[in-house]
Amino acid sequence: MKDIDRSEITPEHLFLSRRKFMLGAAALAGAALLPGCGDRGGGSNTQTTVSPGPVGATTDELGQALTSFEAVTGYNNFYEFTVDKDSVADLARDFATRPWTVEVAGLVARPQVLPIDELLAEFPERERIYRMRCVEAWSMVIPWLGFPLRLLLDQVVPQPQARYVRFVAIDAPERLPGQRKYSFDWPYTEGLRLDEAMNDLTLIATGLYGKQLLPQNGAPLRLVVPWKYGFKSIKSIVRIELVQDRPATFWSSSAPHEYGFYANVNPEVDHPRWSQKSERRIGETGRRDTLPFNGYGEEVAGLYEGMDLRKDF
Amino acid sequence: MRAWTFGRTSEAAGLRTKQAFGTAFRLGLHAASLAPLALLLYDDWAGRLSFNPIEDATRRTGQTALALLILALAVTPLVLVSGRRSLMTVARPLGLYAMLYASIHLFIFAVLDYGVRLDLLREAVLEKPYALMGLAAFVLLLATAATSLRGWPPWLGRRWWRWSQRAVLAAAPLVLLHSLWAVKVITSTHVAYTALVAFLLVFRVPSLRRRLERRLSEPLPREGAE
Repeated sequence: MKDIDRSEITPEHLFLSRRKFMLGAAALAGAALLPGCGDRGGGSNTQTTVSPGPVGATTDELGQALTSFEAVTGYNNFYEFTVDKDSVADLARDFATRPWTVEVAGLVARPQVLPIDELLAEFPERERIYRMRCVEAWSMVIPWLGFPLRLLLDQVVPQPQARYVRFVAIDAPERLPGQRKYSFDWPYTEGLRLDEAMNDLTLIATGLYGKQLLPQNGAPLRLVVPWKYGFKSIKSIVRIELVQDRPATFWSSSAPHEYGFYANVNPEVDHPRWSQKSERRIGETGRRDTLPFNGYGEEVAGLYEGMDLRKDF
Repeated sequence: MRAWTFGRTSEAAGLRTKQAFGTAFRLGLHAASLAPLALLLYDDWAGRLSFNPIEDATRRTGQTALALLILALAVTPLVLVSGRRSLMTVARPLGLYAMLYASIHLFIFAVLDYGVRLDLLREAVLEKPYALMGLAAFVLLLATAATSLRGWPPWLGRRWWRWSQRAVLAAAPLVLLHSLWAVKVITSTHVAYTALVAFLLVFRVPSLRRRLERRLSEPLPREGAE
């Protein structure tokens, strides 16, 4: 893996200037601002920081610019630490991700317990630039490093009766303040149908922006399922299990009428309390229209043929 | 009514001290009410807002509006319990400042966030209860604020004027619902604010209010009036 030099990352003073969104100016300008606001093609997009990734791409396949490294590593939903997205990075700073083992088990021919460094050595990292759409209606474009989950699953050989993959995140209340503070059903768990898990887009991420994953992003390894809302992309995984029945998942157990098992990004199916038609790209002002399957319909729509996506949301 | 009527004043010196205290108190009130806005603008200028600055600014202006609204609602109970009628005069500025922050909150939502995209705004307000509750609360606050200005009561009619002044009481629970429905998880702050609003509204129960009022020399004016 080629590391990018620290100096290539956007200097802090540049990035800080981008964080200003001219609230004061906008408030003063008042009505004068109105006509231009709906247009997101103009200057607002240029706020997104472009930092070079290891393979040099600065946009995703739709030409959308990468979200800054600082935002990707400074604005995180990781309730194991705190519900305050701007404070996760601070709280996670000293979170030790070594030693770490990942157990791949359940309905497989060759169950394994893999120390993280063995796993990293076994599956070479590649870069994938994915849009990440949070269920809270904000989004980012992130250059991940990782490998398709399919490669790991092929290695353990799923048994014929395996139909779902269940993921379990770390359970360590003594090191994770959020697990002590919030009364959720810890640990965080997620699940995918086996065909979703085997899709080439489904990534096990181990890094981003050419660097090793930081704790706030789910180090040492996390799932990335770009056509689903961000909460499906479980962080800091310790166990991957092949199962026969659809597993319970963290958010769909916590509020079943609001968060479904599938959680595919879908502008036509709103969250019961807020709209999913549009999203706020971190680093921009204004809103973007949300794309069906987060823009990955060509690759994944076939997985859901014949299903009522309003019912199976 | 004079703002600084603290009761019997026999000596001129005592009166001057009380005047000075009243002026300092009012200045302090305005400074404290404007401080969150100044801090927000400073944080924006210094690049210290969240990576999601619109969400940050929306949340902060909303929280300040709610806090000021709760303080405004606390005035009547405080007067009823303490007997210090002069406190009554702070209710209106507190309410108007709550209105100011609610207006900025709405401006950020409609203009900076949604870019006045009417399709999205219409959907948000008509289909999503949190936005509808927020807008309803804003209209109620606007009614109370507008009719609290001099010149309004006569041509509005006493009866309507009185209802518009009571609208602020309905606004508080709506604001709470608005904030509860807009978030993914409810925190202890939400619970505390809800309990506080419920507690303050209890003082508006007529029988309790009359009982407390009997201890004052004359009845208090109705909500929002000076």
